[in-house]
Amino acid sequence: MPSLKAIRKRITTVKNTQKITRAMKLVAAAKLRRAQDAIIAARPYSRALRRVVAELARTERDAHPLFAERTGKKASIVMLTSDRGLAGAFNSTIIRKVESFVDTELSDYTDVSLRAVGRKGNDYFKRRNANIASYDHAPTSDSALGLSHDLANKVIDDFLEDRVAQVFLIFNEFKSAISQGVVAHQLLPIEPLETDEDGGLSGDFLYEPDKEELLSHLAPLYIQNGIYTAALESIASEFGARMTAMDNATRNAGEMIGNLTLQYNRARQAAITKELMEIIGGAEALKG
Amino acid sequence: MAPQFTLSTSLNVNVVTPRGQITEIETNAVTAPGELGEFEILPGHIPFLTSLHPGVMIIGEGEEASVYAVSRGYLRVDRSGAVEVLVERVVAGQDVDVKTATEERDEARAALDEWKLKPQDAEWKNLKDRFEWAQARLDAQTRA
Repeated sequence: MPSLKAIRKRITTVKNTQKITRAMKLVAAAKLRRAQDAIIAARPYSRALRRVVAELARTERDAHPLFAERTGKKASIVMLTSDRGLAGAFNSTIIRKVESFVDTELSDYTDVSLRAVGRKGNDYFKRRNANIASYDHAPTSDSALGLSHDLANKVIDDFLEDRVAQVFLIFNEFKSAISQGVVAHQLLPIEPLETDEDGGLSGDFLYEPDKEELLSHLAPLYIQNGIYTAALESIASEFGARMTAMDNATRNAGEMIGNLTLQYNRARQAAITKELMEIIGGAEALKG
Repeated sequence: MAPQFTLSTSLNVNVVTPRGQITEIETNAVTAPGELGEFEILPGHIPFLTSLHPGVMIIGEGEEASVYAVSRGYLRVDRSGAVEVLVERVVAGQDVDVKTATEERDEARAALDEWKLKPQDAEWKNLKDRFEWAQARLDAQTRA
């Protein structure tokens, strides 16, 4: 049985850990709220851009290279992970999804390159000597726009220069604070967009420059917005996952403290009983 | 019944970016940097869609005009006369951080000058976008 002092020390350690996990949970909760606000703020832009691109693409799809199917045996995956751990299964589910996606859906491709975002994903695939075309740190809500801009230009260049035939985006989709799911989207070629409304662009609209030119300017913005919204979802999911993980850790630490306190009290009582026995034993001996 | 044409006397301008709606305002003129050059929209304009180039956008006229730097995006006038300006980034002229913008511009320009005959790939494009956006902010600041 461990000594009283050892148990006491153990309890202090677990209490300190619990303080840290509780603080991390609160920080994640506050950041999650901000990340959710960013997702909501991005919606009107996404909706409007999608409507206009869909409308332009309806007639000009075949004309534009970003919509055209390509033949080739190379694909690329943009993978969004986080820089920091302690977020439950956040990063491992992404990594597993990327691996299974390469093995199943992309099994026809001879070469799949990765554009890694986030240190966790990059570290994992670097150790396994995967083909990593680029690596960026995980973005914050503020830096996500710049990152998606640069990444979009890179994947569009890959695609137009025929270095890859398809580009996918794999990230954690934010459903709620306690539920996130990994999704894989096709970024390029751009899949046909369905719109329920006609966008109000038909008829006597004046286009300047012509529709095809316009599409060349706006399709890259559409790709960029796809990466941007995914990055925001990923950021919110990370905080959600961390919040849940830290909540569990705090609860586990509480349980552990309970058990250790019980053990401590039992040991203390045993020590007192032993001392009493010794005193009684001594008194009895003196009597005799 | 013959179609009715109501001649609107003002423009309802709505500026949207990925960070949210920036402003929604009733005004009588909008000057924007189009891909083919600067243009001005007045009330009663026909339905219109054009792409925007990084540059200076002015909402309103004369004393009450507000000046913004805008990056890539589009401007759309629909049948009701509502103007939708959708751009990646917007910053008001008076809010431009001149020091940062100048640094960014000079850095990007130096890197572009170094480029010379190397192929103009994504890296080059990112630099060029950075340069144009920094220049647009500086222009907006001087015109504000």
